[in-house]
Amino acid sequence: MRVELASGGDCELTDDLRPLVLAAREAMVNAAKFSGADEVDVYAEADDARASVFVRDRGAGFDRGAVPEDRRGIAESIEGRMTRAGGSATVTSSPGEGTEVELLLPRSKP
Amino acid sequence: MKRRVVLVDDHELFRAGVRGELGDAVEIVGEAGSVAEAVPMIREEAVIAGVSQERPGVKFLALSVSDAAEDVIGVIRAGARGYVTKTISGDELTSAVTRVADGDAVFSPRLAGFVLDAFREGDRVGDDAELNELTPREREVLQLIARGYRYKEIAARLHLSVKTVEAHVSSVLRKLQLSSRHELTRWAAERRLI
Repeated sequence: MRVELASGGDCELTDDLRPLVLAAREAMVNAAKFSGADEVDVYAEADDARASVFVRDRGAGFDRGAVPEDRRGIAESIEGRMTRAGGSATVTSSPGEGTEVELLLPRSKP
Repeated sequence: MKRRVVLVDDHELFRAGVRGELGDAVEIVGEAGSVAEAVPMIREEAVIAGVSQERPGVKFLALSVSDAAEDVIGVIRAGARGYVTKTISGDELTSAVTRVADGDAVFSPRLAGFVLDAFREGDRVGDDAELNELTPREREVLQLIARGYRYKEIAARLHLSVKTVEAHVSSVLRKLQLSSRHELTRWAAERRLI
């Protein structure tokens, strides 16, 4: 699977960003495992106030309500990780229309 | 009428590959190993195509292996109307060629990200606010391009027509080419393209 990476703004990788990086990695691995798509688009932006990562594929997509227990756990893992870190994860998908995972993490000023 | 294209790259094998990808979608009227060699070819082509005597509206789409910000932005400020990287698919390349030939701009996700970074909000610059700032709508469109959305998908998501999306991208291209923002001008002095 090919990853198309774009970024707007850069910053040092500090500890507070770890949950975001791990959640983004999970989202990319999910896309590789389940979407059936050849390519995933990843866009990251960061400034002092917040950092965001968007992971999108044009693959199979899924219906959140219909996902079996074991796979529902994956989306909850991403959402749980982000929420515990004080941020949020929004997973948007529908069958046949791909999936986008939007990860947002507000940062505390130094 | 098929778009007429001159292929420019110093690697013959790469030109052969692009020729194969474009196939019958465009008419490849010449190949050159450098921009200097290509220019007379392009000018002659414009004459053959019956374009008027004034400097013909030759449009450049950059297709490159480099995805370094300074190369991308340097080429746009030198006059290219689009920048795509070599990971692009054949269909998307053909579509990009058509877009540029029709007068529109083409931005890869990476270029969109660079532009958002170069036009970071809050960095107050100069007098010409219009040229040196992006509008909120332009930012929205750029961010969606950076996220991998195609024009049709952006249009659907923002409830706009594709034409309007194209107009926003063209406006951003113009700002990118003309803005005197520090992030953009410091590279201009170092680049000397024709």
